[in-house]
Amino acid sequence: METLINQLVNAFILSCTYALIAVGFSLFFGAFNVINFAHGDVCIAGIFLSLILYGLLKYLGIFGAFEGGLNLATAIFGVLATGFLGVLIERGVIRPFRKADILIVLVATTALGIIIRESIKNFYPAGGLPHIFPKMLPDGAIDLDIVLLPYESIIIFFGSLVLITLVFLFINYTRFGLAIRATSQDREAAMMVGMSPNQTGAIVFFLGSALGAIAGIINALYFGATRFDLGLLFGIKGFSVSVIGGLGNVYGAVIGGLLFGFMETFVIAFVPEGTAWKEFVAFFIVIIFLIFRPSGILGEKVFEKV
Amino acid sequence: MNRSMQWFVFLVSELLAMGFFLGFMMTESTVKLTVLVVLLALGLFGYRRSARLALNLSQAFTRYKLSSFVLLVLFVLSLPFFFGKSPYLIHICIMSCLYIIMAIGLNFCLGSANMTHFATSAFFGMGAYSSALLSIHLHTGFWVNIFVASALAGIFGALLAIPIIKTKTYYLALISMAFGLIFFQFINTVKFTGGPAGLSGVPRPSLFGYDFMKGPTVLGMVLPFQTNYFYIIIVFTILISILARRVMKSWMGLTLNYIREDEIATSCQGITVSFPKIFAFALNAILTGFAGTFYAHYITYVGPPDADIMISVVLVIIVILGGMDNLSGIAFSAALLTILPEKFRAFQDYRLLIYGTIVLLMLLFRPSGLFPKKLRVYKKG
Amino acid sequence: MDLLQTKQITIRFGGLVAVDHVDVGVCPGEVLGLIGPNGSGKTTFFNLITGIYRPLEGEIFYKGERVTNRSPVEMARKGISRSFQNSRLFLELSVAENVLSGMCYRKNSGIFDTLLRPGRVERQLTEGIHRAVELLNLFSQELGEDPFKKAGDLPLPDRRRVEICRALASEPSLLLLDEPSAGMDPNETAILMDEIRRVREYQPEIGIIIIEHDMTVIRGIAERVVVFNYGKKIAEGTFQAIANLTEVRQAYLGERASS
Repeated sequence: METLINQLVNAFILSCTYALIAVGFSLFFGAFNVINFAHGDVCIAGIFLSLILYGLLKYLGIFGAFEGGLNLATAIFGVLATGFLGVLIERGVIRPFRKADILIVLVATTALGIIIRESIKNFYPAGGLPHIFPKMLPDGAIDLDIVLLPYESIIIFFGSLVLITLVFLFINYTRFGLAIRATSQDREAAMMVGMSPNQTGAIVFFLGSALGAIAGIINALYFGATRFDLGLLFGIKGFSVSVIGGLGNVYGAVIGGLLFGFMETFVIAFVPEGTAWKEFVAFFIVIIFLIFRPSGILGEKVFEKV
Repeated sequence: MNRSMQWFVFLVSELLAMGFFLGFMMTESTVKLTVLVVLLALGLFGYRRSARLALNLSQAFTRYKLSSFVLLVLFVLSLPFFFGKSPYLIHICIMSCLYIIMAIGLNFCLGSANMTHFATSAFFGMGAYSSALLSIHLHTGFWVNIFVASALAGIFGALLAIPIIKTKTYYLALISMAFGLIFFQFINTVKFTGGPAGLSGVPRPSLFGYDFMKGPTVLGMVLPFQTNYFYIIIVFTILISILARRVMKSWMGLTLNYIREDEIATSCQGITVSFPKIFAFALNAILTGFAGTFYAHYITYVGPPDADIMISVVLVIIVILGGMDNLSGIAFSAALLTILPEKFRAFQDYRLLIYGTIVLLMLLFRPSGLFPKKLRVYKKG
Repeated sequence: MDLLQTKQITIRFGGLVAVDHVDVGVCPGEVLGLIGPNGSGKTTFFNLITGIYRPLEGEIFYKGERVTNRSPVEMARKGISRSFQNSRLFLELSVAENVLSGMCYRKNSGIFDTLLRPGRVERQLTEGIHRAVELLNLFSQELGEDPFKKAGDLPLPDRRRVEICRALASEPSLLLLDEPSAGMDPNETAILMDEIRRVREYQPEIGIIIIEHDMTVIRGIAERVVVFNYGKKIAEGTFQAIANLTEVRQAYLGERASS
C-alpha cells in the first residue's frame, strides 16, 4: 500500500513535468504552426540558468538563514530568464522562418537545440558532468499512518495543479489568451483586429519556455541532480506527449502528460529492469498512436485545403 | 570560351583542387590549416557570387566529364602513396567515404523526396550490429555480410517506412528520432548485443588468403594496412555514386521529386506515392547499413556509440549543407564535415556546436545549401 | 450521361454539408460550366469526383462503371485529370518535367533498367520530354520554345497553362478545370478561351467541366451550365436559360437585390 501511494505520487509528479513541457509544444504549434525541437534544451537551460545564479550567490557568500528561500529565488530567476530566452528565440530564429516550410523550422530548431546543449557543455564550468541541484523546498514529510508523504512532493504536485489551472485561465479568460487562440486559428484575421503576431509570439514563447523551465526544475529537484544532455530526451518525450494528446491542444497536453507519467512510473516499478525499458515502452506507444490515431486523443489542429 | 581554353580551365582547376586537398590533409599546423580553410571559404563564396565563373567552370567540367572523372579516380587511387607515412590520414579518407555513402543514402529521402528523418543512426547500427552478430554466431565473413546485413537493414527500413509514409512530415521526424533512440537503448541494454560494452571480435575481411592486417608493398614502400580497406571502400563509393546518379536521373528520381513538390498533385497524375517513398527509405537503409557493415569489419568492434542519434543529426546537416539533391555537393560536404574535425583536433569538443551554428546560419541566410540543386538536363532535338 | 454521372453525392465536414445530394452528368465532347458563389461546394465536388474526398452518400459513375470511393491515383488512371484552384505546379522542376508527369505512370521502367540500362531510361525520358514539348507547342507557342525553364519562374497565366497541359498529358477523357481564368485580365482570358477551344479540336471526345466566376468564359465555351449554392444544385441548363432564373440571381446577389 505504501509503495502504491508512493508510486502514485511519483507518477503525478512525472505527469506534471511532462504536461508542462507538452503545453509548450502545443502552444508553439497551435499558435504558429511551429515544431520547436529546441524546447527540451530550453527547459534544461532553465535549470542551468538557476544554477548560474545559485553559483554566483554562493560565490558572493550571500547565503545565510534564508538558504531555502534564496534557492527558491534562484529557481524563479531561472524560470523568468528562460522565458526571456524564449522571447529571444522567437525573435531570432522562429520569426524569420514564419513563411517557411514546417520542416525547415524543425531542422533549424534542432540545430538551435544542439547549440544550446553544447553551449552548456562547453561554457558552463564542468558542463559535461552531472550537477547537483540545490534543495529548494522544505524537508520533512506528513506522516499519514500508511505512508510518509514528503512536503516536497506535495508542494510540487499542488504547485503544478495551480500552475496548469492558471494557464487555462490565462488562455481562456484574458485578452492575451484570446490573442493566442485567435492567432492560432487565423493569423491574418487576428492581425486585422489588432492582435499583433509579434506580441502574441513573444507571449507564447515566454509562457511556453517558462513553463518548460519549471518542468525542468521540478525534474531536477526530484532527482536532485541534472545533466546538460537531458534536453534531447526531454524534448522528444515532451513532443510525444503533446502529439498523443493532440498537437496544438493544450488540454490534450495535460492528458497526454498523465498517460505518459503513469505509464513510465508503472514500467519502472513493475517491469524487471524497468528503468532501462521505460523509454522503449514510451516510444512504442507513441509509434502506435502515430500510426493509428495521429491526431491524438483530443484531436489536433488540421488544415490542408485542396 | 573555346575548346582549348576550357581544357585549360578544367585541368588547372582540378589540379588546384587536388593540390589543395593534399596540402590540407598533410599540414599539421593549426595556423596553416585555418588559412587554407579561409581560402576555401573565399573560393566557395566567389563561386556562388560570380555567376559567370560558375557557368564557365561547370561548362568546362561538363565538356570534359570523362577526363575529369578519370583524373579524379587516378588521384584518389594514388592517395595512399601520398599518405604512406600517416595511416591516420588514410583512416580519415575511409571515414569520409563512409559518410559520403551514408549521405547519398539519406539524400534519397531528404533531398529527392523531402522526407526529413533521423533514423539513419539506427540503420547504421543495424548494419554494424548485424554483421557483428552474424560473424560471431554464424561465422559469416565480410563478403557475405555486406549483402546480408545491408539487406537486413534495407528490409528494416522498408518495414519502418510502411506505417510512416502516411503520416505527416513532422511526425516522421518525431517517429524516426524516437525510433533511433529506442534502437540505441535496446542495443545498450540487451545482453545479446553486448550491452554498453558492445561486441568485439568482428573478423577482418579475407580475400583468397590475403592478409588485411598487412599493407601492400608498392615501389619499395610498405603502405599501412588501412590501404587495403581504403581501396575496397573507394571502389564501393564510386560504384554507389554511379548507381545513385542513375536512380536520380531515372523515372524514380523524377517521381521522388514530384512527391517532394506536391503529393496531392502527384497522385492526381496517376502516380502512386507510397511505393517510391518506401523505395527511398529502403535505399537509404541499405546504403547506410552497408556503411555500418564495412565499419564493423574495419574497426572489428561495434558499440552503442555507433548508433548514437547524433549520427543522424550530423548526416541531416551534411545533406542540407551540401545542397539538397546535389550529389557532388553532398559528397563535398560529407568529406568536409568528416575531415575538418579530424584535422582541427583541438576543436573536437566544439564540433557539434559549430555544426549547429553553421546549419542554423545556413538555413537563415542560404537555405539552398553550398551547392544548389540543378535542373535536369535533357537532350534536345 | 455517358462520361460522368454522380447520383445524390453528399459530403459533410463537421456540421457543414459541403455537397448536398448532387446529381451532375457530363457527356463525351461536352463542356459543362459549374458556377455558384464562393463556398458553394464546387471545388469540393471536384475533389469528390477525383477521389480526394470520400462521399458520405451517393455514387459516382464513370463511363458506366461505379467508381465511388476510388483513390485519386485510380481515378487519374481511369482518365480524369484536373487543374487546381490554387495552382499546384511542381515549381522547382522545369515546365517540360511538369507536363511529363502525366505520362509517368505509363512509362515507368523498373529497378533493373534504372540500375543497369541507363541508356534505355534516358531514351524513354527524352521521348517523353519531346511529347511534352509537342503538347506545349500545341497549346502555347511561347511555352514550347523554352520548356526547360523552372516552372516557378513563370508568370501566373503561363503557370495556369502549364497546369492544363500537365492535365492533358495523361490523355484524359474528362478534364476538370478549376477557375482557370482567376487572376487574368480580359486579354489573357480571351487567349485562354481560345486555348480551351483548341483542346476540343485536338481531342473532340474530351469532356470538360469548368468552374468559373468569369461569366464571359462560361458564356463563351460552356454548352451547359450547372449552378451550385450551399452545396446543392439549384439550376441546370444553357447559360441563357439559367441566367434569368430567380434562384440563380438570389444566390449571387442576395434575396433583396434580386427581387
